[in-house]
Amino acid sequence: MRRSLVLLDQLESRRYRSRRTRIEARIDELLKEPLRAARSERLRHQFAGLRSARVGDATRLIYRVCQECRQLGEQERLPLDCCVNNATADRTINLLCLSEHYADMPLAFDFD
Amino acid sequence: MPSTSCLTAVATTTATRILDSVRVAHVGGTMRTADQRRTDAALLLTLWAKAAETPVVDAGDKLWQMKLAFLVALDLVDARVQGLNLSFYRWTWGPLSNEVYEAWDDLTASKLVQADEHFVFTRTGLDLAQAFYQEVVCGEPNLLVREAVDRVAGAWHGQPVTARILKHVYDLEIAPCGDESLSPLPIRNIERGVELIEPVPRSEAAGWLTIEPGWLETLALTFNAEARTSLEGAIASFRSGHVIVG
Repeated sequence: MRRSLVLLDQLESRRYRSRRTRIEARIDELLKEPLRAARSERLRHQFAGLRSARVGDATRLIYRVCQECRQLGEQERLPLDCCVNNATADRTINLLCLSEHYADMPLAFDFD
Repeated sequence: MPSTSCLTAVATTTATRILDSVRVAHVGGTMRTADQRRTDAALLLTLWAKAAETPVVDAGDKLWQMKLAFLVALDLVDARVQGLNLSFYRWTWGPLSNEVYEAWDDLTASKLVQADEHFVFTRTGLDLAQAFYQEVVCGEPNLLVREAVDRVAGAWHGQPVTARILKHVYDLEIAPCGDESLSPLPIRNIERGVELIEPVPRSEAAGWLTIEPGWLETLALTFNAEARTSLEGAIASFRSGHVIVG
């Protein structure tokens, strides 16, 4: 498993500090079943090669599984260092960042 | 035999009375989930990309895009398909939807299109439109949605000429929302503020746009600038070798 510095900073931040234990538990689940745990979904189009897993109600963990990325030939869209030098084992999981992309847009209730 | 002017007066009075009976207070928007709002924006992006001959040069102005959205929404409503969650009401330049304005806001904030007098697609926006069409709209469960998009985009494909589509839409006859027993009227004769079409509720729909969860996640990330910034930082972290192993 490899973690970006962005993820480490996020886990130390005030926003996520109180939820770190829960998030780490989800990460442990993902390490056991990287394609199925935490309602993981394969991202598409410009984010092809990445996955999004639920680690909270609106919080997602964005990550990449080297084996899947190589099998699907998705290294070119958003290449990481491992896509270029193939230095990682297939079972490697790259944890990129936490994301709140499901949290920002309110429902469009507008009765003005 | 009554004179033509007399008949016209009677017809106008009748139309006014009918419209008064169906006029509803415009509530300024449809209740949509965040996923529906993003999916609407992606489907409209696809429609506008397909209709324009060269979307990276000229994808039409607001009136052009609004009327294209209306024509597809009308087609879907007629087929009882929940594909776009847009309400349209009659306004100064014909059918208008507040949700289409929200789509423009979302698409420009995400740098998928650039808004000037005429819209222009960015390369990312055009790529997304094409991928969404191929992977979502062309999916087997979405045949009715694809047919509606293809019909309208095919009929209006080319250089956007706003006056032509405006005339076409003004001439369309439609029964305003609220009372299906009303006779259709040309849109040009319908008063400002009258609801023209509203989305088909799922419970009454013969079909709906089906979209995989992975695409919903992708659109959510696409339309969230802060999330994209975090992701770009994380990718840069990996590329520069700043990672912690274990």
